[in-house]
Amino acid sequence: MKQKVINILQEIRPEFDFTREVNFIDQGMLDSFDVVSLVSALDETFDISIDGMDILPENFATIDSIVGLLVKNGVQP
Amino acid sequence: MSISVERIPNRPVDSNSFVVYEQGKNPCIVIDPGTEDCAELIEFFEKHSLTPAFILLTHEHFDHIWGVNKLKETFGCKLVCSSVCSERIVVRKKNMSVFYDQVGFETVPADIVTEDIQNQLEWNDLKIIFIPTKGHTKSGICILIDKNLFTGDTIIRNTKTVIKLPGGSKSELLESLEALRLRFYQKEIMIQPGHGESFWFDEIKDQEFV
Repeated sequence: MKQKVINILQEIRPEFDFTREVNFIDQGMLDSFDVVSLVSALDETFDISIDGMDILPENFATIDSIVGLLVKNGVQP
Repeated sequence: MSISVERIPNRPVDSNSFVVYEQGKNPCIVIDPGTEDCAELIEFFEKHSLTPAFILLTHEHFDHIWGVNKLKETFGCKLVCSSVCSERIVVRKKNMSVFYDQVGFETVPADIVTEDIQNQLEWNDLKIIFIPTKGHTKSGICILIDKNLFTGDTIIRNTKTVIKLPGGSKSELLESLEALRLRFYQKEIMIQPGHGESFWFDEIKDQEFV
């Protein structure tokens, strides 16, 4: 699952290395437009529908937080 | 026939809505109503004794459609937009509203999709022409009424067109801009954009937007 998430992030912002353990939001690697693309891609890839109330920057700040969101939506780790 | 165009900024997002009307005639057109309660639009209708007959949408994003439900409930006007736009305004993630306030909203679908009417609509004695312009979104259309081109977010003065949202495409935007240039250069067309002030078509340079 982690690799799939990294691939999605890499497709959205190919200029950044998302395997680094940094906060993607704070580091400016993902902006609000990217989060829109990310949510759409995660919904489609994992056949889920991320709830609006979960669309918070902290849920997309690291690989672990994104994976946590996927698990919350029933995706098997 | 002489038409009037009134730009009424939306809120809380400062996109533009427009009222297109003819002096002395009651039915008017509204483009991109993006304020939920439409208070400023309704005040304008009352002041000028107008009733909206049609709502036209340039694309599906929430800041251009938030007032659709209110206008339809109040005036029963017909909603007109592209088929892709109609499919996306009814889904809060696709119209982007959920990304704005985490709750979002949905509108009703279009009453008329532009493809079904060959991208033309008769209004009073005038022909309204819908020009598909992908690039900002797949649903994008520019709307030509007399000498006014309502461009939505495809062309905004001094602003690079956003192409990174779902459905955005740089190559499609370039194609759209070139088609518009071939059609409207030196034709004294006034651009009525989705955000900010109006300006002449001939003032633009494609590279400003890409």
